[in-house]
Amino acid sequence: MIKFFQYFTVSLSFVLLSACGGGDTTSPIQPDPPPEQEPAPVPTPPPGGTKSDYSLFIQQGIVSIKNSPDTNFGAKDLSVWGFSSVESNPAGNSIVPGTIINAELGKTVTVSVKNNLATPHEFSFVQASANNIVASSPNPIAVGATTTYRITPKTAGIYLYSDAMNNGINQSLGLYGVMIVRPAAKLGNVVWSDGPGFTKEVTWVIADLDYKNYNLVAINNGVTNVKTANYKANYFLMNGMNGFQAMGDPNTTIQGTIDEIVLVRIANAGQYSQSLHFHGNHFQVISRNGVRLTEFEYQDTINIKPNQTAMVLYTIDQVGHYPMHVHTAQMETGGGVYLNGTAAMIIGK
Amino acid sequence: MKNKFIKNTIILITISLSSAVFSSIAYAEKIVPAISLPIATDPALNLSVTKITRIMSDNQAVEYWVFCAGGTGTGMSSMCPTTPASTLPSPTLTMIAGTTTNVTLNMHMAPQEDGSSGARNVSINPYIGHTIHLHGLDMETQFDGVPETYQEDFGGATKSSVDLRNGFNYPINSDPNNIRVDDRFVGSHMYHCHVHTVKHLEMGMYGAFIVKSASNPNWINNTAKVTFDDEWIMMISTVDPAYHTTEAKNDSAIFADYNPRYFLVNGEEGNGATINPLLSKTITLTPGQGKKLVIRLMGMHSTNASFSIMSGANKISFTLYNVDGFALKTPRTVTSVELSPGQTKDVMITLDKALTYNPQIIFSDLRNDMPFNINYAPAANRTSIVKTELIVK
Repeated sequence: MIKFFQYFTVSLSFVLLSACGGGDTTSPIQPDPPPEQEPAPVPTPPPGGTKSDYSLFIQQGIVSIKNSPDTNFGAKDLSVWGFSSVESNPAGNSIVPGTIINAELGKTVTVSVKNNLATPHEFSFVQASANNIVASSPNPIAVGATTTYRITPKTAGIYLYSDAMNNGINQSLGLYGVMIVRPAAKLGNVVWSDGPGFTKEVTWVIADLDYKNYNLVAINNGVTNVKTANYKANYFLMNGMNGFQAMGDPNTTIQGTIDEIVLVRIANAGQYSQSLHFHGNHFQVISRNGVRLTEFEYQDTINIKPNQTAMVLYTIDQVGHYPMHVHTAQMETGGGVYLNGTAAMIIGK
Repeated sequence: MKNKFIKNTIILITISLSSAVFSSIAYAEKIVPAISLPIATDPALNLSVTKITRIMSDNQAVEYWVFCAGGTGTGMSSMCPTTPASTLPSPTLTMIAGTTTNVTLNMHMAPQEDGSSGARNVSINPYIGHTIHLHGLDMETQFDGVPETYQEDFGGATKSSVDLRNGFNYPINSDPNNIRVDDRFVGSHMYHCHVHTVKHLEMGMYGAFIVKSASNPNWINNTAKVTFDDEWIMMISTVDPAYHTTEAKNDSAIFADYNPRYFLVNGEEGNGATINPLLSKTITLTPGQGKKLVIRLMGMHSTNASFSIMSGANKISFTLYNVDGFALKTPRTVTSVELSPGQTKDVMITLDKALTYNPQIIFSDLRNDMPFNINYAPAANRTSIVKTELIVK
């Protein structure tokens, strides 16, 4: 009980940001924005909905890779660890990525995390600072224990959470997810207070996975037998799904009518950089790694490095189906199966 | 409401194998055919596909598939003309913003992915044929060159993506109600095949697509309106030779891994102590006058990469104007830029001294961003840093 009322700044795993603005050295780097004012209480939940209490369960589950409809090949069940919202027998792909934590700026969210695996684990934020998230409670979480974290987000955006223990191995096994922080609901569909507006929003958590050298070794023989030098990813996931599956997933698809603006929040929980190419229209990059850009430049491709995030605005201006796919040869595949890598669909109506 | 469907009408192309917009300054750089696409009526520019074999620095022969201009050649193995010889990368296509042009892909005798049975669970490889994707031009679905989305929107009982993959006509800007390639697009783009891209892109089916300003073809974009004196396209790519074998087809397990062995700028290797003479460019100054050189960086690689201009051990400042063919609101002065797969960046350097510079590309690992160790190469060449040479006289 006492943990519920202790307010510590959590021991977070910090990742130094390499750069902003697409990695151009000496380009102006914006400082972290100052904390926004806590909004007044609001009568209705913000877009996407929020709640104040979340329960996550660290446990083993399955990512089920589906066949390519072109070749009727590629199906495979991959054993993973994840932050599940369901304690027993999480079905299908519900375990990776972890439950999206929807939060409202300045409002404290309580996240209870129960460790159902046989080794200690942790719940921590990547790229957190005093200006964006203040969380509490100690890590690690003992076997069988439940630890509760109180998180008070100070800046709207997307934040990657993970279990960073064991030199990042736990995260690569599937223990990651994101928290979305939105401004006060009364402000409507804006990315941040006085920020740009949008009409729809999607969240893309991308990742890679080395099933042979990481998951199978860790799950069968223990994490200590995983050799990080051997990591060679062969599956590339979009919201825990293979490409064809993700392209048919309504929660992953950018879709709308002409002139609708879709906010895409992206986080890379994997170990490989992913260069995402959008068809149909250029998008505007509005934020990288929590840094709000002062000029929203147009691009059709954006490189998201490991543990980095970005937010872009995509305006639908053509009718039809358009792909978004990673532009790196192997990463278009899942286990070598074409278009079963990182991909999503864009639909203009 | 915007009209989203293009009428296949207007079309004429004249082909100029040496683009008028390129400077007449003599240099040793590799010459990739450049094709201007002026306002078109009829007929279209024909692109064909052929295969070429290159002997790489370790004496391995690697087969590539490339586009060529024409399609009127003779012979059973290729419809591509023998002169000029087909190149890697494919010809540079240049058009004027706001004009209408048209490109037709001719599939006669094109090399294709092996469609024989035995490829896993299918009897016929679904990835036969080729398309053209005008990367960065934001084409509408039916002309976007993507079989899967074409099938989604236009497939049915009588039409399938096979129609697209067996040769197709790509009108650009031909809908007067929806001029897409307008002034915003003045800058560097690319084109490539979008069939089974894990294979076909890697095989070399790509080239530069430059959109020029109608006001001044030497403006770097229509926002800054800065005029350049010369330009240098640097198409960067990587090669895993396993992907170039006939075994690499369909859903081969070869595609579950990527081991880049060759690191290319304009199709040429250049890592090591000695500069590849095909990666050298010379610019002669007029006394008392500087010259502005735009370097068009094109990313068709499958690794991370960064670009910088060295003078000895020092990085020289340059200015980034365009990203993915769109103008930055405020150009940025930098000493290096990253270039990720599928990205383009246009940078400009002002040359006012007789000096030799070394623009260089560092290809790096997607996981740790470190250069690769090329273990087959002589000791002096064992990095994935490709150095070029810019001689200013």
